[in-house]
Amino acid sequence: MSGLLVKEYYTLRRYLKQYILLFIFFGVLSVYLDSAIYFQAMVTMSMCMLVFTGMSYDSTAGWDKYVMTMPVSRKDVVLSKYVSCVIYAASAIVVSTVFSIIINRIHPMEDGGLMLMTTVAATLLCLIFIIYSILLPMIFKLGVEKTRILMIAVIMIPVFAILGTAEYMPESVLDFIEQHAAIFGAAGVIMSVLIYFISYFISVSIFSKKEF
Amino acid sequence: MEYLIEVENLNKTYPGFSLKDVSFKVPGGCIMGLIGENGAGKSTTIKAILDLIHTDGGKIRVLSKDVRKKGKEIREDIGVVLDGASFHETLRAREISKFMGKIYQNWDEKYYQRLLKTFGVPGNKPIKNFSTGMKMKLMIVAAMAHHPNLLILDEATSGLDPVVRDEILDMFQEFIQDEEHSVLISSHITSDLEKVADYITFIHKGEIFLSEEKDRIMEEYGIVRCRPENVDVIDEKMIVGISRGTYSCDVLVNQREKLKQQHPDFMINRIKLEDVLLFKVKGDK
Repeated sequence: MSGLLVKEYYTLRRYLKQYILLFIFFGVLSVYLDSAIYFQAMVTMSMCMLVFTGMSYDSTAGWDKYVMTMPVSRKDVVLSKYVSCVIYAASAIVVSTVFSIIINRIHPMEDGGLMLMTTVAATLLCLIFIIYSILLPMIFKLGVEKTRILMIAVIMIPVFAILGTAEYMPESVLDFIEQHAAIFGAAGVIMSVLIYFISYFISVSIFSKKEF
Repeated sequence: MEYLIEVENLNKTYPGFSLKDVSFKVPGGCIMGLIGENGAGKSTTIKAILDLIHTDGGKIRVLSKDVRKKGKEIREDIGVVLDGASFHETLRAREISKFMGKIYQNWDEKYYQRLLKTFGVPGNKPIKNFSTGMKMKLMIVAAMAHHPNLLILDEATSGLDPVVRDEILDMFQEFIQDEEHSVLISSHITSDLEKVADYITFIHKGEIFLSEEKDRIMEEYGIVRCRPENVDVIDEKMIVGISRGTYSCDVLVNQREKLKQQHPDFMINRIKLEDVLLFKVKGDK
């Protein structure tokens, strides 16, 4: 499995320069907008797209077929993608945290506090892992290209579902949630991790039936 | 005799195409050519051997192990070149070794570098700038670098110029000097296989119609050119295929010597491997 992660690194590292330029651009923009969260959200979003770029490359090159002739199991292939996603998400958090620490020294921002950043990071991660949980099995089933078309819907549905639920919830419930934010936050994180695990097993079962 | 590949009654049905009771064996120390026209079932057979597809029946053993149960273990000892399966275009040959070394336990970095040099594959150039032949050479080198016992190649020599093709075929010859090594190579370019293969398996419309030592096929098969009315005198059992013309017929027979004895007046010519395929696909019986 480690070999597959190393391969992921070598195929995607040519994007590194572009990503650094992109981050600088987001950094400048976030200073201009006076919002550290803007940077955090954009960095997380763009980093998380990497896994789809990687999988799209895999299928263009015929790597997904080729790798099945090597001593790796189908489970290894699925696992390597799920682990990659965690790595991308973690790197996004590291990059945005480092950025916020540095930028707060030079030019303190209104929303740049570490506590708020952590809350936003946790929320973003929950959302991203739920989106991954839906998209990855779809990619293993349908391929990147077909999934790409459905991707917008998959990303928008959870976002609007959460926003929509918040909209119609009575004031008292929202207050209650806000008072116990830490508990609900933790529950949210645990739930999305759980969903991610379930999604992994679904992907394994889809991928083990796949024909090349 | 030790067999490296044993395929028994392999069946696989797709809409519009099916493999029907495919059986053949690849002994150690030999090169087997799998010949068939496009769409005959060569790639499907190879995919089944590699456990890339689910079969509808039959048994496949590679290196004396069941492919369904011991797939990962088997794949450690085989090198594969598949049509349409490759590395990412942005990678360089040198980088490939970095992760292949982690995927294969027996990956031999030094041997890989040496093979790259021997075949003149540049280590530092992105694959997207490679020619078709160069890319194919890289794939073959990558398939050899973990010292496999068995090489499985699907249409691997198709895009190569004659010089490179000869180099690679020579390498296969050297590879099978070890009695525990074998090569299974599919192609529709029969002349390549005519040169190097020890065994030939012919496949047509998902069925194997001949799997035999090449020298025996070349020795025993023959083409008789005769008048259409003379076809009837040839023993039905000997006839593999007939290509009928208005004034003369070509008949492919599988017992050249015997026919010669029975009908000394017949002109019986030696065959090329492609004749067998042509008579089977285009001829009638």
